[in-house]
Amino acid sequence: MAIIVNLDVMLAKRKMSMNELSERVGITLANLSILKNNKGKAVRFSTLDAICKVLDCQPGDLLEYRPDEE
Amino acid sequence: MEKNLLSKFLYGLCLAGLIVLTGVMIGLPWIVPEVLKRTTFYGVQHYKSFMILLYGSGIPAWMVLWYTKGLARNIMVREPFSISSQKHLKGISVCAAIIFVAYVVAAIVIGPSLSILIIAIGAFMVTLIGAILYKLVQIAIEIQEENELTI
Repeated sequence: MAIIVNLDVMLAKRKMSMNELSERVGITLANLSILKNNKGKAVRFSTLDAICKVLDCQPGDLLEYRPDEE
Repeated sequence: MEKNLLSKFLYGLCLAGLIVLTGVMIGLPWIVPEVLKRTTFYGVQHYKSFMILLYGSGIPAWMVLWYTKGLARNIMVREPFSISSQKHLKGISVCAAIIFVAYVVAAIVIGPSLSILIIAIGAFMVTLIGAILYKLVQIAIEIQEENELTI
């Protein structure tokens, strides 16, 4: 998939753990792991909104487009 | 609770059908002569052909029931859209196709009697429905996976 989720980068910048983010956003750790490991197929705007609010960042800080290498 | 009861009933029905069919297939060498006693000479003449047809179509029919039991089990454990269900539907379609071919051959060899033609048409319909449901479940699995991986 060409969309990369830089969740670990933002977590390191904000010095926050996955557990803390999971509790504050209201998403299970399992689902956050899916997101972090780029296994997700789609993200709801409500989820993106909640993560950006907690991490105090823009969607562009979290999502990166990387073209598939052919 | 009512939904679960129906799933269990269907599963039980498949199990019962498997047991009955197994018994019938084992007892065919005794059942067929008894039935043929009551028929015309035509039936007696094609005794061997009937036995080959009944065993040749009986084994795929047993497999169809086996796969249907698997499907019923998946519904019972609330995993209807799974790779396992997909495989079962493919198996049902393939086995029904074998039954259809067996009865078409029988219609040519023994003769196109009404019962043989009706069973052939029924088997063809099961083949078709099985194939369509296989594709339907495949798409349903994709949609389910997309839904599960939407965070």
